[in-house]
Amino acid sequence: MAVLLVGDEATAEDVVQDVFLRMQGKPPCLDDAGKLLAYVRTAVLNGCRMALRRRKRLWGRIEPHEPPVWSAESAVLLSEDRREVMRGLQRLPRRQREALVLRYYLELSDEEVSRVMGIRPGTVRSTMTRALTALASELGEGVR
Amino acid sequence: MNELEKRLHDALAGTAATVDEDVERPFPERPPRRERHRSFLVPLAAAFSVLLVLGAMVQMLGPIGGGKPDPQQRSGIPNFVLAAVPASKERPSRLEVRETANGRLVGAHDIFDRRWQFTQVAGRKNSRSFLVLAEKDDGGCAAKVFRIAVSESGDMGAPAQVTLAVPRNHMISELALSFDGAQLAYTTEQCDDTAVEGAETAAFLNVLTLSTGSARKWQVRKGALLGGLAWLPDGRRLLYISSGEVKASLRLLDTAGARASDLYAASRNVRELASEDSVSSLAVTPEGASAYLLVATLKGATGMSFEQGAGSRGQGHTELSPPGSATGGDSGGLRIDRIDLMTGAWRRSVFAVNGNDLGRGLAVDASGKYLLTFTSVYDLRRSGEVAVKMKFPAAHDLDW
Repeated sequence: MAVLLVGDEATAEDVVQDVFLRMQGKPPCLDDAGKLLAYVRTAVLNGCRMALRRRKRLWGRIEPHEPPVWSAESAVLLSEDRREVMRGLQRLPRRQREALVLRYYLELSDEEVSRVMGIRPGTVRSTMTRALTALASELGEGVR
Repeated sequence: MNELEKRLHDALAGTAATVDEDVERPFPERPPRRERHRSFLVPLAAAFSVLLVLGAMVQMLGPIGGGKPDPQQRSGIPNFVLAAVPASKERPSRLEVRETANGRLVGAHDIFDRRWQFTQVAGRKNSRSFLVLAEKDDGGCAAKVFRIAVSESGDMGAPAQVTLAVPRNHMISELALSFDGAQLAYTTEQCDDTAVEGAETAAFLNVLTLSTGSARKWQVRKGALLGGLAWLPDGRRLLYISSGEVKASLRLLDTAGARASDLYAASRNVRELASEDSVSSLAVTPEGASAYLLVATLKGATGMSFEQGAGSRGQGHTELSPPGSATGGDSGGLRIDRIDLMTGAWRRSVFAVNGNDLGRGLAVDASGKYLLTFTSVYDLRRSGEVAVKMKFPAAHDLDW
């Protein structure tokens, strides 16, 4: 999930490691052990947001940063179609991108996505719809 | 799931598959996090901050709220006065440090020999550093100068004798310390057996630079009397009273520029004094524009001369007889006059002085706001209003 959100493996590893290091230093106080996974997902999502914010501050004044996952260098690993979809996904607003990754990669329900993202389920659904429409527009096709 | 969703799902899964899940990813080498001690550090830091703020407030409010001022500070009345007190039946002459405000005795130092007396005090402005003159009381031809330091709390240090150059058969009779304490003016007068009353006496005015030891000397004309030495704040010009056979006058000597060895020729006249007036002390203001004079008017006096200083042979002060007394002159009382040193303009009776002890005690503090006499501290900013009523016993001299 982190790789899909930040676009490169090294940054994703840093984000996830930071989450686990923090949990090791100060374990989360959860009333239900089953919530641990949701806690980790939310922590990773927040870590990705911070990494992207730092990257924007760092690169925004110089040139747009193109993460390697959807860059030309990844062509040897990804098919052209997958790369086009990932580049379209990268151009979406942050919230829409997060919603699509949580839904179509982790296959979470609207309620689970809402808990991870900290928004209402209704907002998840509307965000998802707008995200698919925007992605279709980016890819040059209509939503079917 | 429509075509777009399938493409998205496939792209996400395919991209995620590029990440090797089995590769080992050890945690980076990081120093262990410091254990946090917020539980007790935070209250400690907060308490420290509060104490710091309170301390700063106390520091700021102290002077505003009338906290204890620094003794001898420029803006307020100096806290302590050093007085040269004559001997009594019970004790010998001594130096006393007293609080200005209430006259409370803070410290005292008896003279080393009952035959001697402390007679003069010369203070360096705003420093609680003094030179005092001790004279042999039995008519002997001897005088000694001591350096005295008074601490911030009023404690008096042990007197340290200062050796000054004095011609043979002479003794020191007047002292004056410049504002910054760098220059000492003193007079010497002949005091051997030939100096009988009425005979001509030889006297000298000496100026000594204390840091270098360099000295200059001017001869006083025979028959002339010299007294009331007072430095101007520049540490160069010296004001004095000349009297005796010549008409009494206030004169000014440029100690750095005068070439003549004769004092009268080297100095210039500032103002002649009225014949019925006798000036015992001078006090120059810190800005050097004017000087205060302690003046006694003797009714019926003819050719009144200065009765202190060279020729007075150690008499620290002259007792004026109370009104109606058969002895002495007919006292017209004491007053304090002021003279403008630039124009010579003289103003009589700036304020009257209580008592009839014509002593030497007259001093302006370093701020120029207060004038010290034996009986009162006058507030010069308020037309001589009495700021403190002094409760000193009779003293030869005092300074702050």
